[in-house]
Amino acid sequence: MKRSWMAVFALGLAVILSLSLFGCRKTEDNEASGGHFSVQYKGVTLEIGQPAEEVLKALSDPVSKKEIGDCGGLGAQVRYDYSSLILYVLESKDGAVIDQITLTDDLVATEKGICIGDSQDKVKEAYGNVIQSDGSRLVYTSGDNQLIFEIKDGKVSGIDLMQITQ
Amino acid sequence: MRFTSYEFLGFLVLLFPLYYLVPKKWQWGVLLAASYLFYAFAGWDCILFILLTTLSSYGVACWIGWRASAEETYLACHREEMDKERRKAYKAKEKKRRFHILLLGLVFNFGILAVLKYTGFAMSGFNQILNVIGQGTLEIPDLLLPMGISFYTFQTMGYLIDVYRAKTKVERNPARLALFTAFFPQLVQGPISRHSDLAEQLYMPHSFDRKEFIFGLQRILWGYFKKLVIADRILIAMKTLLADPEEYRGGYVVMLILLYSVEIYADFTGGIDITIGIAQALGMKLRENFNRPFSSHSTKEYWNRWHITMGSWFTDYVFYPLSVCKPMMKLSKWSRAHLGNSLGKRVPVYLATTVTWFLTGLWHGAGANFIVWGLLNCLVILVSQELEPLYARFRRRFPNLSSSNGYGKFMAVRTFLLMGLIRSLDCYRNVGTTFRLWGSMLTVWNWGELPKGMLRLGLGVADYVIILGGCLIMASVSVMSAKRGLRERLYQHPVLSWVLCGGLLIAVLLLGAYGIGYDASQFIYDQF
Amino acid sequence: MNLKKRILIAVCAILVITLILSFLQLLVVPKYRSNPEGAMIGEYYDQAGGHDVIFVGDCEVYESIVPATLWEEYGISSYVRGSAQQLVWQSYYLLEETFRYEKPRAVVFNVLALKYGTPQSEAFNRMTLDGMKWSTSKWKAIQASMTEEEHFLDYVFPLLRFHSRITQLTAEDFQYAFDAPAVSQSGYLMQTNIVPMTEAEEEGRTLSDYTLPESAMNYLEQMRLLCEKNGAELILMKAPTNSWAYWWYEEWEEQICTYAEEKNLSYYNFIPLCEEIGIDWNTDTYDAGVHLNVYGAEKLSRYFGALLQSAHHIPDRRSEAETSARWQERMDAYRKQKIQLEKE
Repeated sequence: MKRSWMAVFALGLAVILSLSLFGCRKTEDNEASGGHFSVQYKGVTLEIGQPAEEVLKALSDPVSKKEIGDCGGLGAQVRYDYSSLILYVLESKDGAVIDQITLTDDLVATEKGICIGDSQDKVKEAYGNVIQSDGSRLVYTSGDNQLIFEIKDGKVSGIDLMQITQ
Repeated sequence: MRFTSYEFLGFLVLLFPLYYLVPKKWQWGVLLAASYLFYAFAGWDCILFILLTTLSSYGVACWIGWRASAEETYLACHREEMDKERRKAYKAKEKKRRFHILLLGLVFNFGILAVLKYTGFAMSGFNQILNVIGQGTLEIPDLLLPMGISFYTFQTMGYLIDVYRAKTKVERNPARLALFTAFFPQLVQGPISRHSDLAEQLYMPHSFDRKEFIFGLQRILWGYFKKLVIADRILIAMKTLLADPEEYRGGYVVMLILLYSVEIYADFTGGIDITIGIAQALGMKLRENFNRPFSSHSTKEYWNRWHITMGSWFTDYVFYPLSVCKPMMKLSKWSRAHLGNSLGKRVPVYLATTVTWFLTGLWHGAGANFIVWGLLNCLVILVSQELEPLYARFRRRFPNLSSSNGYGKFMAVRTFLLMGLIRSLDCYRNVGTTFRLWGSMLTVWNWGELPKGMLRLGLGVADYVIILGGCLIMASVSVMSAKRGLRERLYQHPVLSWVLCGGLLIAVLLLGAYGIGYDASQFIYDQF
Repeated sequence: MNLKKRILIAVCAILVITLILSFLQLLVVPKYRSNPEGAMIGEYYDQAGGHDVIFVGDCEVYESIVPATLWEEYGISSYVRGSAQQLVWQSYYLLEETFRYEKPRAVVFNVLALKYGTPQSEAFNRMTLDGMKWSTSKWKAIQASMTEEEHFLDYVFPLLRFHSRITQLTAEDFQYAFDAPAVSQSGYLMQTNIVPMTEAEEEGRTLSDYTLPESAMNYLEQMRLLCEKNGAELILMKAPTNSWAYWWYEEWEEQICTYAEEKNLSYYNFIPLCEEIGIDWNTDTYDAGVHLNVYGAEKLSRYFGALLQSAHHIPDRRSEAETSARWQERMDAYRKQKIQLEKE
């Protein structure tokens, strides 16, 4: 009986020490008030950093495609114009990824249902307290992604998803 | 600090001359500082855990030692008063007390390991149960996993058990015990040393021995060759194969088994070569951890040649104590009485074996796949044991065949493939997926597309040529070393020695799969 | 065997191994023949000295400014120390190094690079930095430029970075292992292809932040002070382009104009001046409006040269025998390459 109590005590001490003494990894203060940003377009979920190959296959032919090679021939930036949004794709030797998504009309909404034309109050209700606001735009950050709402006369006039540019 | 980083090489370049230039009595202090500096690169929070293990082990060992000397003193003082029976009873009582103290130390330190390494696994399992009964899930905490925690915990607990068994003396200097626990070359992937083997070597002064230093450097270089030229090159293909296992079925599974066998061998033995080479350059001799495992004729032999120190740790500290403990003795008695002598005597041995392999699997990783891996190894060993009479009959019936070279090679290939098959559980990390893909080797016939397919895994023809060449070199060195010490022979021919070592260095720098453009990888085992 | 003999063998062996590794290093480093942008920085040293104008910056500068035209039309001796995605701190350190070789009267910096405030790409870093001769400037440029995946030792021993090319060597690697002909004309990378711009872009991509990074602006300020210290006038320029990928935003234009005004610097934005310069986006671009080809670059150089001479008093050195002789060679090479490329 005494042995088992000692063992329980030792184990308990081990648990408490492990968990309290820097056992939990320090997670960076992540202001993910917006969560993971995405849009749904023609049944396809589009996110920043997503491999572009499958997405482009799933979407129908774009209205236009413009490609610009990088200096040095190391990669290219490609712009795909669709009826309701613009997809910017970064191509490199590691593959093609979605770099930016610009919504161009109110037929496409973000993952929380916000589209062009909605009020800025609706944006704040959906995404919470804004991280950054300069009067003409509301900017939300999640990790290294940003969701930007251009605001004009209290309404959303433009929506962009992108990586934080440095 | 990874073994394959520039920082680590710089660390060695500074350490070696410093070690031999300081007064000899300070050498072990330099090693202690170096070991903790090495560990600090993994994070200052990790240092707290290794310190905890060191200090708790120090305390427990001293306490056991104090109780042992108290017992001796008491018996000496009361020799006339106590008859044989009383002395026996007293000794038994003291032994039990020391066992309780040992248990405290073991539970505490294994408790830390269990919490940090297995909480996620346990809670995932618990969450699955909660899911089934519709009670939602608990958040799994993201816990720190200090580098080498499995290795240093096992090594230090081995020390505690040896102190209890009076197989090694108590280390009275906490700093020395700290060095034994944290000796940096073996922190990442072993070998798991015994205190009686390593301690004296760590603390004694070492004069510079040119020959041993050169041998050490040669061994380090050889380790880097295996790791960077072969293992990390194969890893590129492995990552593609494992990124989407369902896409690579049939023949690809066979290729994965072959490639992974070579990769893990080159990676693990490469790391051990670097470890042993560093120790040798510092004037110390660590236990060998591998002995040509791919020449094994059976699974049992394989595990006597692969990760030898882990195997012997589990044998000495789990299997044997379990086999002879009171409950097992009772079970043995009961099973003999109820199941007959033949079957009865097997039960405790097989049970102890199963528990040992279960724990071995668990040690390798917190996942069902590792447990299944351990139990499959156990199953193969036990089945082989049961079939031993059949094998003996075969050997008697066909003595020439069974003693022929060809038959030996057949058994080695068979063991290699069988071990490779079981090892794929480590790759796929999911039991269901692994079994499914094993099945696909028989049901999916895509060998025709393999030649082209293998070139779409991130490796070109030149890479496969390098891998093949590397394997041939590894095999040749292995065979030559088995016959006579290769380095010893080379030492007599310095020009040849320089040509070979120079060639090896050029091969590592030129053909190593390191740096930008390759996916840098850690040693496979340093997650343990 | 005695110790002396062992040491002798060891020394000889180390020498041989070093020689072999040095040769292998020469083999594996990229020669930048098929993508010549990486070869340009190293070509400066053969022509270092005697320039009145040094241009620094990214691809816009080495595709827009033709030193041969500046000489031919105005007798302006100049050199373009440009490279692909040259970052502003790299421009600064290149300039710092250049001032050790010569004291130009003016330094022209293309401002597009100011959009980058942090290290961007290892590949572009190598294209700019590998060509520099070792100096404190190179050391500092590497430290400022390294991305997280990079290591300083990889720059000291390029074999460590490029060893993976050993299985991808071509005849060029052997042919140009020790020496290679210049790809640029005084730093200008000639393009004779014509790929017309199909439609003018109206706007670029939305940015999350239109403020030019503070770190970049700090380096611009340091560049200004460096020029001041060395008696050179810093002139800012923005090369003409019409590309959604390399858009020059109004917000950026405002910030540069404000800075130039505050510091009393000349700033020329050539984008709105395309018509005046005579640039025709149907014939003067080799990549549909991103960069100028030689025909467009000559036009711009002609226009800019007039400004440099009239407003910035860069002298006409055509009457100087030595300078003339030097430039005669370069003009011959320039014309020869133009004819060759136009034939292809």
